[in-house]
Amino acid sequence: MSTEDQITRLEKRLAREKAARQQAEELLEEKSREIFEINEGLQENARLLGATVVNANDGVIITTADLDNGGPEIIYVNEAFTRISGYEPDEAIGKTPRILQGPDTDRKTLDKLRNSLGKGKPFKGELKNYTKDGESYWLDISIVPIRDKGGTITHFTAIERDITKQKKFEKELRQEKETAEKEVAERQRIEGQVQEYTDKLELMRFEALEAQKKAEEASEAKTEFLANMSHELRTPMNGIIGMAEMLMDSRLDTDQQENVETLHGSSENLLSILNDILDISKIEAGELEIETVPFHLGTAVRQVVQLFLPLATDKGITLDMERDDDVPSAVVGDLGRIQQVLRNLISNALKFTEEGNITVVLRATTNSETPSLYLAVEDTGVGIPKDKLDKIFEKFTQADTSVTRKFGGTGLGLAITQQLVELMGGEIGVDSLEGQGSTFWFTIPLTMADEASVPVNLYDEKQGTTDIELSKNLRILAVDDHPINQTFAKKLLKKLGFSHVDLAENGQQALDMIAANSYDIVLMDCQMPELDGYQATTLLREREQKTGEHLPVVALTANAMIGDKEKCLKAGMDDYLSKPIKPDKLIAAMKKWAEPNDVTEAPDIELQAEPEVSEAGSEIMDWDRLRMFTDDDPEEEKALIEMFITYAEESLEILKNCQDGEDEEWKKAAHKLKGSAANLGAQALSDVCMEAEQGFDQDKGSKEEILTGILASYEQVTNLLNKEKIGA
Amino acid sequence: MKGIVFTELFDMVEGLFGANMVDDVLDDCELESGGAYTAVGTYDHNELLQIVGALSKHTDMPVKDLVHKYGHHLFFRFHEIMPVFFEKPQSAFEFLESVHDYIHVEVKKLYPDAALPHFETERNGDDKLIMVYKSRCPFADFAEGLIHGCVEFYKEKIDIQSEDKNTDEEYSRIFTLVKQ
Ligand SMILES: Cc1cc2nc3c(=O)[nH]c(=O)nc-3n(C[C@H](O)[C@H](O)[C@H](O)COP(=O)(O)O)c2cc1C
Repeated sequence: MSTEDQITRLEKRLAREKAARQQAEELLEEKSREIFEINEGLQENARLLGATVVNANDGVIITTADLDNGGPEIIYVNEAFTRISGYEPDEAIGKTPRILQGPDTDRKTLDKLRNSLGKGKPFKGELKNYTKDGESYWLDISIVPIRDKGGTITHFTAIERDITKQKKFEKELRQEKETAEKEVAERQRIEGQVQEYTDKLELMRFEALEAQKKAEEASEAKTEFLANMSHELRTPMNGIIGMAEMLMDSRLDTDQQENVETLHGSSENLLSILNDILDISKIEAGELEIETVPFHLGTAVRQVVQLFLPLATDKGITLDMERDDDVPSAVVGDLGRIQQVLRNLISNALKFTEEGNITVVLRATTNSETPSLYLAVEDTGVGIPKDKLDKIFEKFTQADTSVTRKFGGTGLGLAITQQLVELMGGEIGVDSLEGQGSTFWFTIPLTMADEASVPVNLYDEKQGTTDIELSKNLRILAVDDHPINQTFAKKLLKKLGFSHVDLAENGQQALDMIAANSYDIVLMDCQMPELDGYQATTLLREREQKTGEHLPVVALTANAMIGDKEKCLKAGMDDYLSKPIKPDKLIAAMKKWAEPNDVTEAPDIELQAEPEVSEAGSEIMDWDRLRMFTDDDPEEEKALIEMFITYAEESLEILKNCQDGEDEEWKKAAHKLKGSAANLGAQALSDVCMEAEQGFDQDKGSKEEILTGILASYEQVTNLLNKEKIGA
Repeated sequence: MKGIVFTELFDMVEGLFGANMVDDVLDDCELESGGAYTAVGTYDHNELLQIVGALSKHTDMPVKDLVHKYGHHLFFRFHEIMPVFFEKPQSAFEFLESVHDYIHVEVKKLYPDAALPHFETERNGDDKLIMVYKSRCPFADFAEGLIHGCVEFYKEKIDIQSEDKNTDEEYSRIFTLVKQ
């Protein structure tokens, strides 16, 4: 190779090397620039991170990864750390974070922390730490491991936030919440209780309402029932009493007389009880009305006192009346009610007084703004124990229950009395000393009658007319719509010896008959169809105005209501008789009012004067007696006979069963048959039955003998009765 | 392809055949780089193929042998240039195993744009190692040279078998190394 070539080759090589060096230099420059730029970026990042860490609000601690051997060792803390803990960086770096711990740092949390970090896991929790000055504070601490590329942990970084205030706030909040919750719970408890009580109350209220409703319904039903019942019962009671009175007036042996008297007394008693019940029912039902009529006060009181005079005299008790001078004579009020109250009080006083006196006091207070009447019944009786005083006016209460047994009574009397007084706008009271006596008093507002008015009870002044002899020829008109009542009235009058008796069915018929005939007295039923007794009497009185005549009219009414009498008097009737009509009362009324034109002979009302009954066994049937009951009415007779046979058969069934020795059943059956046979007029049968009644304790043989007698006698009676029945 | 492969090749050629051979080879090639290489630069791998082709012509040696020889040579050179990679591995197997997981990782850090072949290994007991070479460049022979260099470097007796598994997408060769 030539030198030239050699040089060319070397030059080429040199050029290649230069080019390579240039490339290398360019690459180098490029890389340097890259490195510089990267470095710049890194520095910026580090600056930002550093500033962030340094200026962070939260404390930042970086430690070595060595957890044991006194580690971890703090290698960096930021400013916030110093602010929170009080340790300057040079006081902390090289130490362990344990310097921050103290007595109240929770060991369990530290164990958890160590456990997490030991496994290379981050930790987050709350810890109590202490400042350099020993003050405690709460940290929210979050520690994360820092790993190198190979994943090995090289450091730990902790970010710590001071949560002392937050904790305190939380605690306060929690306490507040707790108190609030407690309050709420307490309130709920109370509300629950209140609700429970309310529920209970509501239930009780509901039950009470139900009970009240039921009670009210029951009470209403009871009142209504009682009112109906007593009314219904009164009608048959009237029949019983009337019949008993008639029986009493018929020929009876002593035994029968006694029995009938008991029957009569019990019936009267029962009727008065019924009246009481009816009264209280009416009062409770609010159906009772208070009337205002002008009446003579003195007369009214005297009448009541007189009523009780015989009873008081019987008991040996003085019954008198004390009346102040300033008590007005004519007043306006409910005459009947005032009399009823007085009657109740006097009858009560009589019940409980064995000796001494009963005084009825009558006073008036006229000078006050509310003038009033004062009436009192003073007695010297047993008196009322103090503890019973305030209950004395209650229903069904008597001072002593034994009183009920001894004196009878419904226990309604005083309750009715009180109600009546209150209804009249008055007041009632009692003063009593046990063993000394009682004073029952009542007041009622006083209203004077005006001078023009005529007191309704003025006629009652017509006293002492009972002595007038009654003529058997008295012409009587009995007005009643009911056939049975008509029969009864006619029969009674006939029995009393009056034969001139006419019957009218209603008011109009009565007026017509009065116009056509002349009568001495009219017995007037009040309730009648078409024209009732009141209307008829009013019309009669109007008619009489022209003639100046006065035909006495005596009202007959089943209405036992007090006040009816006043109604009658108002209508112009002269007197009032409540059914059942008692013969003696009827006679008394007729004696009082009837002024016969010609007095002939006195009526034979002496029943004893009638012929004696024939000896036992001599007569099978007393037809007169039977007919007295049936008034010759074949229908009635038939019915009575059938009834007798039915009862008799019943008794005979029992009598046919004869046994040795005492047999109460047998005795009762005999007694029953004895009674009904006697009533019918089958005296012989009645007598054998009496023999049986007395021989109820004999042996079988004797009883069978008596029975044969009874059966024989019964057969005779039935034979006769059957003939009569067929004949009828 | 990293510039070092070119500079080291030229150094070896100079040593074996003299500097003129390098000039002759370069004169024969049409190179984009103009034949000026620096170790830290990056060049088209086709330039290497041209150079090796020209070298084969001038030296009358097959390309395969040349490349194989160069690989063997380069391994020893690596030991001189980059001793860090030799700190840990104590045997040929250990070194070969570190290529993929360690050496290539480090190379990537320095030269993020370096296109490195895939080099997986699989130990089969103490005595057997299977290495799979995968690349888009046809340098399996070069790799085989390096492996032989490695075995020789650690002065071990290892039998090396190879089998090509090329596909349409890449070149692949499986090396089976068995200790003797
Ligand atoms: C990064 C880091 C920061 C810590 N900061 C605190 C701290 O502020 N307060 C504290 O009580 N402990 C802190 N500790 C926890 C203690 O250093 C220690 O780990 C803990 O007391 C548990 O370990 P011991 O059981 O050995 O005491 C920190 C730990 C680490 C790793």
